[in-house]
Amino acid sequence: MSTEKIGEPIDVGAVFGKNKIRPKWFVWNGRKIDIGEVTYTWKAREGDSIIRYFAVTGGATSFELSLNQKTMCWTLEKTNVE
Amino acid sequence: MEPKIFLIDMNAFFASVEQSINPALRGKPIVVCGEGRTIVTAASYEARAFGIKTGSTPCEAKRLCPGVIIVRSDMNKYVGSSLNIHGILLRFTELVEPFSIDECFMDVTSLCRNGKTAADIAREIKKLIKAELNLLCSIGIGPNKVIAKLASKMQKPDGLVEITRADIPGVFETIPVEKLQGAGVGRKISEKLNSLGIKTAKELGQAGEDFMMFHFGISGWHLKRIGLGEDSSTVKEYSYSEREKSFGHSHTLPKNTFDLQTIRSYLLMLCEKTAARLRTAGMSGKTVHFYVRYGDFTGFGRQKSLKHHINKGLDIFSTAVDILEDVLPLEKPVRLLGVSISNLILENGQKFLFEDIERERKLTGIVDEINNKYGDFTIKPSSVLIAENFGIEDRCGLIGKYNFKGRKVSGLIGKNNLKIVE
Repeated sequence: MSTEKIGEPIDVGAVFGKNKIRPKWFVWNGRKIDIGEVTYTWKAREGDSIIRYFAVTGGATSFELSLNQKTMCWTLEKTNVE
Repeated sequence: MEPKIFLIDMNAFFASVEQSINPALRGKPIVVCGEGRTIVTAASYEARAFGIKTGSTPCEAKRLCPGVIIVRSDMNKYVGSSLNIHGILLRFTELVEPFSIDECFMDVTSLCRNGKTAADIAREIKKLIKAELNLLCSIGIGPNKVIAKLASKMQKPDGLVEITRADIPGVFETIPVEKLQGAGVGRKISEKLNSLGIKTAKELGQAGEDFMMFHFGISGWHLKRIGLGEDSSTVKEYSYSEREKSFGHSHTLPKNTFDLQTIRSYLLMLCEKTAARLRTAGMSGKTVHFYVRYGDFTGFGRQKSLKHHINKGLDIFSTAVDILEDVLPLEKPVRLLGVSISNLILENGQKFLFEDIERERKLTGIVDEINNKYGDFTIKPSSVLIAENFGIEDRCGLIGKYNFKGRKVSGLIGKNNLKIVE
C-alpha cells in the first residue's frame, strides 16, 4: 500500500443535487478515470475557504479529491495504490 | 425508573475512520501516526492482534508486524467523523455530552417507554453508525456515568453491556480498581490504592471515609462513592457550552536539539498560535504554563502567574522565555515543546487611554483578520522562519479536549450519503 501526495488541479464531472455533490469522473494526466464509489467525504477550512474532500475509488486505486468552494477548483490530493 | 445512561465508545476510532475511507485498508493491520517522529495514536484491531498498542513507536509496530501499514493522521477527518456521530445521536435526544473525540454520554431515560428498552435503543444507534459511517462502537449502559463507562470497556469491539443497580455489588466483587481507570480513577490513584491494600472496586467502596480522605484529601470521598457505584453528575445537553479553561499548543520537533535559537523560534510560533485562539474566543489569561519533553521522554513543566491578564503572542512568549531561562542550561536535547495559558477571563472590549496600546490592539486585530482569511501565519514574526526552516508539522498539537459545541469545524459524511454538515 503506497500513498502519494499529488496536489494537482484536475477537471471533474460531478452531479449536484439534493444538497449533495457526487463526483462521477475526473481527468488526470490526459486520462479519464471513472469513479466507482465515493467512500467518504469531509470538510475542512483554509483561511475563509471551505474545502470539501471526497475519498473515491477508481479501479484498483483510491483517490482523495478536493473542491475549494471559493474558487470552485478541484484538486487531486492523493492516490492510494495497493 | 432507574436512569439509563449510555457511554458510546468508538472502536479503534482513527484507524477505523481510515479503513472506512480507503477500502484497500479494510481487514489489514494499520496504525495511524503523525508525520516524522511521533507515536502510534491508533491501531486497527488487525494490528492489535500482533501486539501493537497505542503509544508504540512506528519502529516497534514494524518489528511486531512487518506488514503493518502506517497511515498519516488527519485530524480534520476524525473531528468531522465525530461531529457526524453526534448528529446521529442527536436524532434521539438533546442529552448528548461529548466526553472525548471518540466517546459520548447520552441520557435515554425518557426514551425507555412503550416497551422500548435501553438495549433496544443502543442496538438502533449501533446499526445507524455502522450503516451511515461504516464504524463500530461499544455501548455501556448504566444508572450513572461511572457505571456506563465501566460497562463500555467490558466488551470490545462492537460491544453492548448493561449493568443495572442490582448488578453493581456482584460486578464490583471481583473487578480490580485498575478497571475503574477512565471511570473516575486515574492510573496513579489505582497504583496508590493497591499500595494501601485496596485491590477491588468492592474494597474501595468498603474503605472508611476518614481513611480515604486522609490519604486522598477531598478526592477520597469521591473515590469511595465510585467504589459504591455512585455518581450524581448528570448528562449535559449538547448545546450547553462549557467555557474553555485553558488554551495551548505543543509541537514535536523534527529532531532533538539543544539549539536555543531554534527552541525560541518554535516557542514563539506556539505562543502566537495560542494567543490567536485566545483572542478569537474573546479571552485573556494570566497563568502561562511551559513544558519540555526531552529526547528520552523525561521532561519538566513550570508555570508563572502574572499580575495582569494577557492575550498577545509576544507577551505569552516573554513569560515562557522567563520560565525557560530559569531552567537553563538544558539537561538533554529537546524533543517537544508546549505552552498553554489558563486563569482566563472574558475580554470586555475596554478601550485603552494610551494611544500606543490602543494602536497595538488594532494592529493585532488586523493581523488576526488577515490570518483568519488566508490561513495561519500568513503574517508572522520573522523569527518563526527559523522554526519553519527546521521543520514544522501541518498541525501543532492541540492541548486539551476538543470542544465541538457550536464549532464549525468540518462534516464527515458516510458512504453514499453526501448530506452536507456544518
